Amino acid sequence: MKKLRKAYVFLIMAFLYAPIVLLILYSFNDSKSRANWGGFTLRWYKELFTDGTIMAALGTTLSIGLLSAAISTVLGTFGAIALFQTGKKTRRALLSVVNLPMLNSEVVTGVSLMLLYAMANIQLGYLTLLLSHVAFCVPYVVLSVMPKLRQLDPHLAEAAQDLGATPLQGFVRVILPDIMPGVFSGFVMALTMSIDDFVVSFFTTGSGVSNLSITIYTMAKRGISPKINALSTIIFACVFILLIGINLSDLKRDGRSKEKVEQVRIPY
Amino acid sequence: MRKNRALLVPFALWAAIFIIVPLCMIVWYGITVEESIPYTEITQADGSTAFELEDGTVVSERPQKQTVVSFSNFRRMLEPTYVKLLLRSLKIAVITTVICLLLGYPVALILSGKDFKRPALWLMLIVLPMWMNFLLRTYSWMSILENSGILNSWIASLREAIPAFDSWLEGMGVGKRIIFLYNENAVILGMVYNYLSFMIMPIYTVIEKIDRSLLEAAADLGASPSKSFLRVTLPYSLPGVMEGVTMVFVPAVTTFVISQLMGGGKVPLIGDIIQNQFGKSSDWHFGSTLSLLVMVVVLAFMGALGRIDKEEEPEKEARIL
Amino acid sequence: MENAILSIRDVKVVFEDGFTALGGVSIDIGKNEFVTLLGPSGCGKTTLLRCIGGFEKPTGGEILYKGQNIIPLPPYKRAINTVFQRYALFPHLNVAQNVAFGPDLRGEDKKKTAAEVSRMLALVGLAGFEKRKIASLSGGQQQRVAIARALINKPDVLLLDEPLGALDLKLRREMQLELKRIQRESGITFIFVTHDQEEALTMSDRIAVMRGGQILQLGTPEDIYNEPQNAFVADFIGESDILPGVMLRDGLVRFLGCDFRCVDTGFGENAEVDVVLRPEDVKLRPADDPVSGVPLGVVESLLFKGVHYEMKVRSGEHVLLVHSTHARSVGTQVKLTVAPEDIQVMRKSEESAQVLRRHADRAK
Repeated sequence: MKKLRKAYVFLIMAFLYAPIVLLILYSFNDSKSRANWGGFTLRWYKELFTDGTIMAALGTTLSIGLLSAAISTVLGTFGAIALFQTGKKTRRALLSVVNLPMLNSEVVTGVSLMLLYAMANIQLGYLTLLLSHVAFCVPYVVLSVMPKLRQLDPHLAEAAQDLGATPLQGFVRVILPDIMPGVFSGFVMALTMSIDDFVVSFFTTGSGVSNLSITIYTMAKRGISPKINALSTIIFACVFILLIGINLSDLKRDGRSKEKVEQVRIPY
Repeated sequence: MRKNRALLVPFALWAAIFIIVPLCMIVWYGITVEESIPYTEITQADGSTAFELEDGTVVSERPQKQTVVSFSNFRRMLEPTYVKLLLRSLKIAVITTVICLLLGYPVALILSGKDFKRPALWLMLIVLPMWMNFLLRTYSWMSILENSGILNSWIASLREAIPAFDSWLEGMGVGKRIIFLYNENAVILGMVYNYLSFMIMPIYTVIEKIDRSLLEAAADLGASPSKSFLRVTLPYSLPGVMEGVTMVFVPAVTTFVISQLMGGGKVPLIGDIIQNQFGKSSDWHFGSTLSLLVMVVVLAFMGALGRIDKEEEPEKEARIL
Repeated sequence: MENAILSIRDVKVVFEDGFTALGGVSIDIGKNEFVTLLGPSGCGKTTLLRCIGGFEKPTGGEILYKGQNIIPLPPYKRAINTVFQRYALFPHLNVAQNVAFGPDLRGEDKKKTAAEVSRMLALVGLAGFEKRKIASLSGGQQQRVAIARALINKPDVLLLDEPLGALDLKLRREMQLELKRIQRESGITFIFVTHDQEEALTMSDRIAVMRGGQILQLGTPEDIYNEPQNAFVADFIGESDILPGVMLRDGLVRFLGCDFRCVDTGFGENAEVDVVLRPEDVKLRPADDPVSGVPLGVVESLLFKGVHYEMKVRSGEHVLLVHSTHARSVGTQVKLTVAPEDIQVMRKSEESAQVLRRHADRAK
């Protein structure tokens, strides 16, 4: 029975990993069609790195990802604090507003932001892309910072001030280090949401600014290129190393970090 | 406690601009249409061109299109084409959700048991593919399933290697190239693949938190494993199931990418039509009306699951800054 | 009070929702004094403490610290430190870093601070705990760190907000003595908030009994216990029997249907009063005792409490709590006597009716 159960989990894992493994394998295939194996090659990687469109898209994805994650982390953290220290009614109302983008489907969020920029007469491009990513990332930061604030000793800020810290010093020296795990996981979440996003980006970018998702979408619609296989392989390798690294260092730091692994590291 | 609103105001302002206003825009566009005013172009006595409206007034400027409140787009939405589309989207989303639940629940259950020494690690491995761009994930299936794809080439080489297999397939009426892509099944496969982890995660989180002593108590009171599953684990895991169902159903009912890639445009869903209205067809008003429809469907679905407004409330408030 | 270090004058706090937390409180606190604010939850004691600490802004009145009104000063500019209810230690810092928080902020010399931290930790009985993590400490140890963290700043006044509330009984008792010792050794004024009357009686130089945003009585523990000024204070401090009575004239009070000699004067003639008796002051005599003119009673219940027996004695419609080292079995007829100096007569107050009703309920 136990073997059967384990086998089932492995089967699901196989289902989840098989396409990725195949993709990785064929990124080294020296043949344009997948029909046959033409021997090992790094040709697609070379082509990938010389492909101006893909490299530009990669640059956009990374810069938008880091910028929007940083901005939404600051905004979301202070927003969470603002919500936390306000009255119950205001907090409830505002919290349900902030949660709207998470309840709403991405299509609606994308379309609504596009209409907003049209109304404000802002030309679609890098700026609107960035603003939109901040818009849908902030709720996730609020979501991950809020529980940390709830866990705070309510008198912590007062204690810091009591000992002579100005409110700002108290925040930097006491509150921030304490909620840092939440802030950090908010940042990671925002970063992944941004890098992974396609739908909202699709509606809110323009004037030739295109991130990886959009580029892959256009390429995949046209037909399949082994270059994308190579790109997937690189991305997967990065994600794999990053995640395993973070989680292993977590496990080392404290043995019972089982919960941490689930709570903090897996944005879903 | 005195309240510090210095932070609240800018945050509320931000939320208003980037959440409330855009939604209002959708509503506004959804209930309005662009209407052109009928006119005739006339040449006046002095030789200049003027425009005569239907009521006889003459204006010198060419009349612009006007935005007027109209529910004609709601009527248009009820046309059979769109109703069919919506029904298909719902059908595919429901099938996807059910498959994800059937596949995912056992995984969550097994992982929360004692079979695996490091369940959290395994869970992480299960969620890991989700960290890859979802277009790439979908694309990987395309490259496997397409007509000249990996699966077909494998089957072809199998056929070459084993003549009996080849003739058996031929006897079944299967052609040289099997068409896997560009139908509803392919779209469902793509969705299940993309959303399965969304189902496993919340269910696992909930089951994992079930107090072990409850199960022990059930066993102590004479419940067989299957009974204690039905009486204890299943009811306690329902909130996780609800969460998982939401997290699969909502994107499934609104996606437009998977249907375009896996369905090759042959299985358009409601999301595709919305995308079209803001792209090629460029009827933002009808697109907004359809977005409203999607919003209503999603909200109704969540309302039915009782998932709205169940946000955990902080019991205490404290001044931090 | 002369040479008061802290002078609280008519301090009022009305919250945003209109609730009056403090309705004009005045108290002078002297140097090196241990003052306890005692009262049930919601009486305003914590609010008063937070006003002194600077976490709450009074809506009226003055708080004079060495003669200067400190109400406009934020907490970080007051030479007053606080030990918070749940300690509010900084979880990401270790013990030494927590204690050194104040000196570090002031930019004091690191070496000097380190030495001072060790001295403070020794004072609170935690020598050698410098590198320990906060999470690895027990409640009592965290308590001590919180005290050291406050004391290192050499405040003139230390505020303690129910600092022993989270500790178990045995540890509480230990910490009570410890706090008293630290206060004596450091020469700092302690303002201590608690709802535990026993704690207040043990530790304080003076106690302010609060209720409904007012100070009902301010005095030494002996004053408060032996001469409560109204029914609420009598009821709140220690165990007591509170009975309605009539002050016939100076030195003679009537309750339980009998006349008693007492030492109280100045109530006028035939004034309605409340009479408070401490259970240990009520003496039981056998029914055949020759003493006359005293109420008769029947023992209704008997409990062994270790040092003494606790009996409930019914006399007419009242039931009295009696503590005695001598047990009398249930159903025994007794005569009740009280020495004149053990009878405390109080004027009727707002709370009288409520307190009397509650005491009368014991009879049911």
